[in-house]
Amino acid sequence: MNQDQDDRFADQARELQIDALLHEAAGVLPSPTLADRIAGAVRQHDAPPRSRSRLMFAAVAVLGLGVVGAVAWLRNGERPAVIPVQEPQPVPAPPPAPAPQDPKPAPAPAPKLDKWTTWIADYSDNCVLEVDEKGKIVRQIDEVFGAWDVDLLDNGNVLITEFSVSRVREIDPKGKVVWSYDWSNESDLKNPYDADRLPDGNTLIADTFGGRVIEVTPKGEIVWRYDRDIRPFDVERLANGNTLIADVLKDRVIEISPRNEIVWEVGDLPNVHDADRLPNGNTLVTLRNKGEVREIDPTGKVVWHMRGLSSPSDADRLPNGNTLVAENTRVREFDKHGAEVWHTETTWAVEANRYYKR
Amino acid sequence: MPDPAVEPAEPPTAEPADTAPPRDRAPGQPEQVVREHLHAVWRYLRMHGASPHEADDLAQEAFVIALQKDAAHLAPAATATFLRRTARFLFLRLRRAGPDAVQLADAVDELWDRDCGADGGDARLDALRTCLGELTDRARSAVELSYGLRTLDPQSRARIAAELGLQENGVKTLMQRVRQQLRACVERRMP
Repeated sequence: MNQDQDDRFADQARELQIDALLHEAAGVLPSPTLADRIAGAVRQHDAPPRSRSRLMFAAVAVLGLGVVGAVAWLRNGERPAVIPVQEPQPVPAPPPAPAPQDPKPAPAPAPKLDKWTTWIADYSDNCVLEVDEKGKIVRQIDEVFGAWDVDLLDNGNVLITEFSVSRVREIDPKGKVVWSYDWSNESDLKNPYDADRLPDGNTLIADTFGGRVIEVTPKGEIVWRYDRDIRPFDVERLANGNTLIADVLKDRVIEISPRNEIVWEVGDLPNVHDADRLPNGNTLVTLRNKGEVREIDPTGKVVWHMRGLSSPSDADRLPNGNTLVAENTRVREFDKHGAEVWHTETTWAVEANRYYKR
Repeated sequence: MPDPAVEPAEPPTAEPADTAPPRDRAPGQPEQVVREHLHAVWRYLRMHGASPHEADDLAQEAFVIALQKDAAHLAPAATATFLRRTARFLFLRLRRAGPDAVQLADAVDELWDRDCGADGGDARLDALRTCLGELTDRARSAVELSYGLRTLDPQSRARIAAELGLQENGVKTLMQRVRQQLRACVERRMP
């Protein structure tokens, strides 16, 4: 190595050093729960004999965190560019046809579209929040370690996915944990990003760094899994019984039949963090690094997209046709033309779900 | 510097045969080891360029490996060295580092040994805080806005430009100059 190269690397090293220290002076510090996480990880690894590949799971997990881009808060959020190649279809009021195995639900009263709350998973603050229409926090659950998903269930409980401690918990309105899938019941989860409660009471989990999607019963028995070369960031069970998976490993969204066959696939979706099947049959996908949300029709054609977002990790199409996006330091609702119609500030929102009062 | 092409294929072992340090710590104190070394390992990773969350996860992994490989029982300085070597390996593997990245990592290590080896960088951070107070108002404002020093809310270059009445390129130039000043100031203040 010549002297010029030596000097160049030495200079870069000094820049890295001053940058790290400046951030630290600004309060960028290790996660306050890191020591506890390490203790938990040591306990996990001490329990049964572990293979080296399992030992390395956290390093693999960092791939995902790198993707997350922890300096995303340095990015400025400007009004996103919306290029509707084709106007998105208004969301029809009727729900999708139930899956064959779904119980027939009693007709529910129509939701009041002006009365709602939004549940937000705030990764950095280790909490989940419920905020009202004015952005006021009406409920907060702390000591959630690496919150990556939060869903309000029909019974009023919330289902929380905790990335950092590899756990999915159901918590009732009084704060009591009524169900948990974690190391205590030998779940073997590895940094999950997403979990959904299914109509039959089972729970569908994107076990992100376990490289699988699993469906578990309330007793913790795995009754279905898909683990063929995937890193699932988001998963949902469709009305037809298939399962939609956002697979970051291969930059794609796939629809899997109950027999584990890929029945639909769209690729070239770099860093896809979220995928939702819309009632019109299209699929809404969130591309974090591109700062983009796309609506894709069944042929793979992009029929609508919104660009210029700040590290979005979740986007939902709302019943009023607007789109709710979790963008790290805020959650914003946009109309179909990209105009912001609502927002609330957060520390690091990675998931936001809107619930309407009936 | 070591041969940049040679990176360990696996995390380093706790006790290389030729450099086995003395065992002078009672076994079974993982919490103490974490408490003693966590911040320095995390800061070391940040100085290699890891994001805060990458540093969290890589530090976690380094401690798990260290505790599994019995490095917690080594003398504190040897434990610290083991943790840094492991963290460096994990970071380079994460980044799928090529030769350039390995050379940069060597330079970071060299700087760490020189500047932070004694106290994990605490004195350097203190010096930096003092140096921030010596900047001109305009320079300090730029740093505060850029890093969120006052507000914990780092601003974009565009917003800083608007705040300071500069072009965006002007902010870039100003920040480069200020960082140079801070580096020089910190060097002056270090023993």
